[in-house]
Amino acid sequence: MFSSALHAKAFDYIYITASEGNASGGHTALRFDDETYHFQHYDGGIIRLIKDTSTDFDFQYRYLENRTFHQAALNLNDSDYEQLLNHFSLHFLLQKQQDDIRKEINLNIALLNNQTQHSQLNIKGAGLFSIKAVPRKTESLTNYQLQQQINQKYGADFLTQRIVQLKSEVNALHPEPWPKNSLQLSEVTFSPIPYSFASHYLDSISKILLLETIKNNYTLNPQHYFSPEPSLFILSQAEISQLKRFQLVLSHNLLTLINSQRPDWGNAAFSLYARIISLSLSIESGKFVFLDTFRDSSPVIDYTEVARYETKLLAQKNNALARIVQIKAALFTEQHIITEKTYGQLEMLSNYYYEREDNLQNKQGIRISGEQLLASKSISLPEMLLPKITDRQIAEGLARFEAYQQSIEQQLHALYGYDLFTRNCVTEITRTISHLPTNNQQIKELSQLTDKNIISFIPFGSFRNLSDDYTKQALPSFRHQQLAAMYREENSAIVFLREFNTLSATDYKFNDQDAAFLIFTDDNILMRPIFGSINLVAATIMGLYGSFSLAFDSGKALKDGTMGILMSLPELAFFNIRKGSYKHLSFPAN
Amino acid sequence: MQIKPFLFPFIMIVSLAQGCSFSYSSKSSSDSSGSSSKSSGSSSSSTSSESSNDTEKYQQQIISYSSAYLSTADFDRLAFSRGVSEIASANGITNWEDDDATLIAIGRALKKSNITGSAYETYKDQIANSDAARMKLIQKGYEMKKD
Repeated sequence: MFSSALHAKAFDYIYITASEGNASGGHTALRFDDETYHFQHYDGGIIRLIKDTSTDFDFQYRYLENRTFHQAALNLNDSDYEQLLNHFSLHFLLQKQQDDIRKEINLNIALLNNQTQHSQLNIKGAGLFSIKAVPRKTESLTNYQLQQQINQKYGADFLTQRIVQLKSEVNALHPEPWPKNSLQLSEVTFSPIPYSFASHYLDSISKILLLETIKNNYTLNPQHYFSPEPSLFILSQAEISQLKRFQLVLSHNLLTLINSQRPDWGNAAFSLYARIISLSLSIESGKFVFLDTFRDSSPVIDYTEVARYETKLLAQKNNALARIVQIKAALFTEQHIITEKTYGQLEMLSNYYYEREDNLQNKQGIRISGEQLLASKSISLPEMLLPKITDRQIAEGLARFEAYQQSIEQQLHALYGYDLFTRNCVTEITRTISHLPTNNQQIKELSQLTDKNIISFIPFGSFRNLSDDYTKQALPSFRHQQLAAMYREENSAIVFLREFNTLSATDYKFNDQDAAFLIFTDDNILMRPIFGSINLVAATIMGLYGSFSLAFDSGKALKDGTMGILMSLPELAFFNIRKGSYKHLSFPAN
Repeated sequence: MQIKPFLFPFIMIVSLAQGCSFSYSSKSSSDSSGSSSKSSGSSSSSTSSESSNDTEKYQQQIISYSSAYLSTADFDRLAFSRGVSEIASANGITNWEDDDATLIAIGRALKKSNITGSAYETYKDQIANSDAARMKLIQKGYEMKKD
């Protein structure tokens, strides 16, 4: 029935085993090679389609959350495979567009309410420069050369005239009604996002600030660049020559950008100009000077946690350094032309390395992720640059955008409201597939997966209902992979005694994502009720302690104990939900 | 994966306690269609050079977005450009208007969306801002056999 066609391509239906907290029902996903699509329950009670790279998805679920995958491979011919992949890609973009419409409305409301501290109301890239610091000689020279090039290309008064022109444009802006088709959401139509008052306003301010930065020779913000110590970052003369050629290309790009018709060139030009200056500093010092490319909202762990995971963070730092050696060598091969992306990869990894190196040494918190290919530090919209529109325009605009907000929220709930039984991560996969016009029998069967029996809407049930004709395999969780390797290399009894409990297990450390437990129960089904009883006792003790310490820890111990009891109960009946999660693992080499 | 039917009710009770995964990514605003990786610590960003595979992946992101956008009735160049900028920026590209890979991908998207004749010429002209070199690259993508 499911005989493979010639040139068949496989995609995978994945069931991810349960985990404590918000995933006790398990999870499901569809994998198309290096892209994985899945539905998640979001704040506000809606369910959304997510696209992750398959490596990121695996790292999150199999490694950090420590959950085993059960995977079934379905073979399709090229055309059906592409059709199904395009279908999911389109739905993902369609939903992202709807989320962006919502963000755009919120942005306009924030601007009209003068909420200068609102997270969206900022000028991206402007934070890379400082008006207070004194520019270095090299920076001034680079700026002078750039201004000369601008004068040659666009005329002597270009910067001044463009600033005046943009300011006049900004003063003429006011909120306008949106076209109706942008406000009518549909599950199948891509809604256009209007170029709204707030976006237009912020884009224009960004351009003005960038042109003023160049005109007034503002300096790079010293807080946002660094030069790592190791000799690896020292540049040879040949490498400096290549960086000079790269800098010339970037300067040419900047010249084009500042006269572009593209609406958002200000943000991009900030990143580009900052990179040009940082390259000048590298060339002058003979050593790499990198911009801080961590995004503004990068997650930070405090030093207590850094100290706890010091060994892992040190290993990550050393691995990064080893990879930087390879990336640098590839970047400077003779035939290679440095591009924004290849340079960005080196800068990004150097940020990852330096964040660990510097903060481990200085015993400070660490930004654990969030480095990007381009630097983009934001500043809040300065109060003096808030729009100067009349009270009436503000009131009318606000009333309109608040009505839009209400309408969009209602439509999103109507279209994508989460429901435990009828609209969850399983049913949404089958429902999305059912919208695809196809004659392919496998795709049709997959779209009917949730109709088969009473448990088919649960991830485990849906996977169980898949035909046995598909190739099925289990991909073990991080802990199971570690255990298998240990059992291969060490004495089994010692491994068991060391690894069965959370106190002596290698790698595992209690963390705030796990409720109290003593013994891992996902390895041994027969012993599960006995181990579960011990976990139940431990969680009960924790809960009792928590009831006494309520006033001191805001109820954290009580909550952990109660959750521990809840997670232990299924273990008494041979079921396992809790796996024990991991933090700050290094990304697997393979 | 054999399981006895009498255990079904228990599985349901346990599973229904919380349902499917809640979004860990809802805590972060960084996820985007253009995002190539969450961290350079991940292997997906550890490539030592810009391979043709990287370029193809970037182009596929541009093609998917452009095709979806071009399927709408009204084409707004400014709004369309902002979407392309978001993907380009996440891939480390600042000046996408003069980036070969981006313009070729837009040409491929126009072809994939079956836009022909005067409609195609209008889109090409608008996206390229009437620049001959840019239009040539869009045309190159349009004439490619892929997609």
